[in-house]
Amino acid sequence: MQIVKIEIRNFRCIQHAVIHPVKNSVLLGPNNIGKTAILEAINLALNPEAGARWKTIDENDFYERKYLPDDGGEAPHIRVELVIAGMNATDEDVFRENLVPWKPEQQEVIETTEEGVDPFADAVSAIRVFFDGWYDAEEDEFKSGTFFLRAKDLKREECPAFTKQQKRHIGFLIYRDFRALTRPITLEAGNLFSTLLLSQEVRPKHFEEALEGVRNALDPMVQESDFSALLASYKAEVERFLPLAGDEHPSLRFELTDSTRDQVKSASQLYVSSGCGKPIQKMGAGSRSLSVLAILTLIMRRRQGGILALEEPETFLYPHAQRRVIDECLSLASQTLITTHSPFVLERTPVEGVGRVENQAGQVKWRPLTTSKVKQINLYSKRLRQVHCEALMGRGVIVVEGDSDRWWLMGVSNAMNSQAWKGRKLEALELQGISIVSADTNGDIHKLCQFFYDSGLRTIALFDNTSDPAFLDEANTAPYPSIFLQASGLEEVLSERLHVDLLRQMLSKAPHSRAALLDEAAASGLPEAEVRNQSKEFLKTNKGSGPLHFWLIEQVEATGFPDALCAVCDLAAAYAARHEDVYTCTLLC
Amino acid sequence: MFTPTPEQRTVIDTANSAMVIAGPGTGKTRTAIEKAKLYCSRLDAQKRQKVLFLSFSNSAVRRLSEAAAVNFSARDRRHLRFATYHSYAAELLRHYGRFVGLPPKIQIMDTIEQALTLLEMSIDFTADTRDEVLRSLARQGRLGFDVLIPLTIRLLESAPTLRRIATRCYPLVIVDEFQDTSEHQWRLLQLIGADTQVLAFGDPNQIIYSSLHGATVKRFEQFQSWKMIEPHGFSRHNYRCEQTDILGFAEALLSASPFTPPEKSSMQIFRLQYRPQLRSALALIWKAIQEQGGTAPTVGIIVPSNAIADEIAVALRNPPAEAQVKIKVFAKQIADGAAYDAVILAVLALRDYSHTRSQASLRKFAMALHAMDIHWNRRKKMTLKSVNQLEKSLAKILSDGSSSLSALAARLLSIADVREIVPAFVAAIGGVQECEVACRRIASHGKLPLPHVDTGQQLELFDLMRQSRTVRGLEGYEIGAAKTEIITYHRAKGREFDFVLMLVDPRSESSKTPIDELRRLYYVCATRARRWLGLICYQNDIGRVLGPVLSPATNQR
Repeated sequence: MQIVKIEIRNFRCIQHAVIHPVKNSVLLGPNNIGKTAILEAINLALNPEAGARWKTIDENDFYERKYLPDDGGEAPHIRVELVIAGMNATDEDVFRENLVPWKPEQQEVIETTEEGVDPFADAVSAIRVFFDGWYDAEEDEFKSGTFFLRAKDLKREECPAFTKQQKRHIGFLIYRDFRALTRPITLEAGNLFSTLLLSQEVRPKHFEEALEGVRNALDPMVQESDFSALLASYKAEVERFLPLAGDEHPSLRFELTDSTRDQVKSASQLYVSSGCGKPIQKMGAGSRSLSVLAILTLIMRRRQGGILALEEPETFLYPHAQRRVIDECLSLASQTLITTHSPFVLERTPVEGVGRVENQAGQVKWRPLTTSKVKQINLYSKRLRQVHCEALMGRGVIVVEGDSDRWWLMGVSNAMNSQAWKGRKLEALELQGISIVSADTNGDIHKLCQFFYDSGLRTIALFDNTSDPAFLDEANTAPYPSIFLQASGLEEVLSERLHVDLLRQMLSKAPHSRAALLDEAAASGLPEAEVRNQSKEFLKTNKGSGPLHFWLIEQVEATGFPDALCAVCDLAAAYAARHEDVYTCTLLC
Repeated sequence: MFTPTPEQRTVIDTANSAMVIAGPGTGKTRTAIEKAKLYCSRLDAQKRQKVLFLSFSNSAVRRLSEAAAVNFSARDRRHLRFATYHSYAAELLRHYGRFVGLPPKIQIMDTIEQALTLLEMSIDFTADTRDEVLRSLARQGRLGFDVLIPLTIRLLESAPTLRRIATRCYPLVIVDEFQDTSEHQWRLLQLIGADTQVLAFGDPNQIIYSSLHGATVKRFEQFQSWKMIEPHGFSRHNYRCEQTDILGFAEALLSASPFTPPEKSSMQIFRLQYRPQLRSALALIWKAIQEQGGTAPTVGIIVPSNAIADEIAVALRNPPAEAQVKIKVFAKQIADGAAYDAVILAVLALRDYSHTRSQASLRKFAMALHAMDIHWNRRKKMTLKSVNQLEKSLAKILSDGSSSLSALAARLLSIADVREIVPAFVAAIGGVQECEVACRRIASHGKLPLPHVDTGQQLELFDLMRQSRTVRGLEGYEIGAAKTEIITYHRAKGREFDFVLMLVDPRSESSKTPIDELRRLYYVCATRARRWLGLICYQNDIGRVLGPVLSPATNQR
């Protein structure tokens, strides 16, 4: 089964959201935009244990904390409506009273048909459920429930309840590190492990016996002679003031309370028994995360599916562990919904389901990246996945032609961090969530830019000077700005703008050079124009040579970088932060 | 313990659909139950599969469910679903009626409400207009009983996916009293049972609904060609009743051949001189049964109509002084809640009238009284004319200051709570000639379960009732606690009692009913007895059925 539609109202930072998730959906976006709220909203509707341990909702869950009615109006309700499709025959049997026809192309439920029309003719069977939460002023408490919505206009009271057992059949699981990790794994209700037991319909058979054993656990202590003597004299003392009620010979004794049942369950924590023994929650954060994730994967493995929501699964995990976890989850779950800030997680998920969450004054949207532009997708998935993933996590991106351009922009930006440039203080691009992506060829720059732009990033294209009219045309009509450097290439900028002494040094000392080096005396003897000329050729020969460029960047003093490169960094920062608009332009070098 | 005969065993073990044609007492129900019991272990709980017991009447469903209560553990009972065709249809329409043009929220009208609604619309319907009106009511979400099955058939026919899902959870369908399946019900059964094993039990000699809804012998042939099977028969051995004279009498009823019960028979015929004797005769016979019948025998008093059943129940609760027997009766008829609803409707309408003096509320009052009348008296139909008449006579009484009813109306003004005014109302309304009998019966029952009514609001009479009352006649089986029951001929079908007292009243033998059907009806009643059959009839007129069977001088008392 798979969620095909989510509609949320008045929940946390979401006033209204309609989302059509796909099989494996990744929700990207900056903090506090509503990613987690979306997962939590699904949790309200589908988690059989929601509300088992803590209150389901409180005032902070309402949009703008408004839970009282406006003057004369109705009180706001938190409402989460889900359509779940992709049912097999057993699923249909379980929900046979509450099926609705879902049209996948139109992404809508067929509400009614006239006599003689088959509602399922070009639709699949699905169920539509909703969570409703509201403030009951008379009883001064927050109330909630989950129901089936057979037809759109039915009131809550007219809808059949969506029960725990039915939710269990759907098998929704949510991973939230911050809650699960600090708690021990116990047998109590609402704990993930009891979800595992319930999902497999396994109940401990000898629990009652265990309980009986615990009841008698106090016996040895009670039988100690000085203990019982003291208890007897305490009883005598009490009876000086009041006779104890009951039969003829009342006595005092310690017993375990009625709540023993629950306490035994919550006190039995899962230990790793090797060595001196250690409960799971006392292990390292990574081990804890993995042991919780393992419960989820085991549930799905044994049930052969389930809808899985992962909230930042990367937390505390090594990159390779992140990759493994995601690979397992994707292969086991019938649907995954993931929020993440990790490129390692993102690179494992199919690109069709990656999208950014946008929130404009409470109106929340999510859509997967445009899948129609196959070329970009190929670029994305085949060659540059990891770099691109990092870009998708951030706020902005600069697309450049080649690796050298990327190295130099990075270098400039890092070196200029906290430095003043033209009276302004610069900040490193990577600290601002702006990535630099190289397209390898000039021709791909526009395609990649369009791709990033479509996924909601502030995007800038960076070109060498060009006279190709098609390029210029494209740059002029594109929805993102393009910056042209008034130079034939990076080599020209560097050889013209770097300090001549540094260039001399390069010509004689640069490591890993593909071109022959001059000896030091010869280099210092060359006139400036010749140095610059030779440097240009030298750099061209060494195009793409990382070690040489890195060495060179290291040698440049903070004030010695070409102004054009500093300007690109400055423009990109201002543009990504939305301080100012940037238009297509040419920078003099 | 039930040990099936070889021919019953064949039916229990078969994996195919089957039809069993067998007479009364040959173990049809036991075989059906045994079959279901064995089948339960094969059901897939995860797919929520169940065995569906389907029958046309509530009483048949009730009887099956009683039998199941004895034979099944509570756990296994969850795997059984008992339904009438109507309740099956109503359930499906509640879930999916929106796909046959019904609004998402529907409301089912039982017969009384259907009648009231049509009257409200002031339609004195003919068969043609009636159908049309019911259809248009259905589109507004108010479904009369009569449209439930046709709409469900349309739904299942037009939505094959839905039909597959809605029917595959019943891998075994057991149909009881198959001989009385109507045309619509037969079509519905074909849709429900298309891909599953269907077991039908029936007896052509027990068709008693041919005139009511067109049950026919043809049904047996249709079933055979539908499932392409040969019918099974059970041998004529009767497991219910070892008494050959009772069976002989039953056969004689069917074939209209003369019959004389032998001496020291397990069957007795009582001929009464005149009607008032009935009460004391019944009381004496009942007492004799209690004294000689061994431990806790079950007694069924089977009578022609609800009205007579009711009258007898009242009479036996308050027997004449000389009889000195007080019979604990459990008459289903008395527990019928729809009649109380009618009383409350009437009270509300009257109170409304005393506030507003409006013509409309007077009319509603008349209609409510009429509904009472239908349920408690012999009157069968509500017509516009009869409502008009009653309305007129009520208007006269109410405007005449001296009458008790208008005094009541005046008093109602000062009493707020409906709960309090009902007894007074029942007492006072007895003064209206038309309602006299009905009110006596209500009073004698002594227990009126009333819904709470908010008195502050302006009375939207019928709407209020619709909200607070539950629909009757869809399911509602409960297991009879009493050992003595007074029931009608039609409701006796499929039941069994140790002692049966059958009352024959020629006045109830409608001339419209074909004589063959009457014979079958009497046959059904006579075969309800396990140990003893008592036949009560009148000296001077024994009616069309008994006429050719009994000689004028047989076995008098």
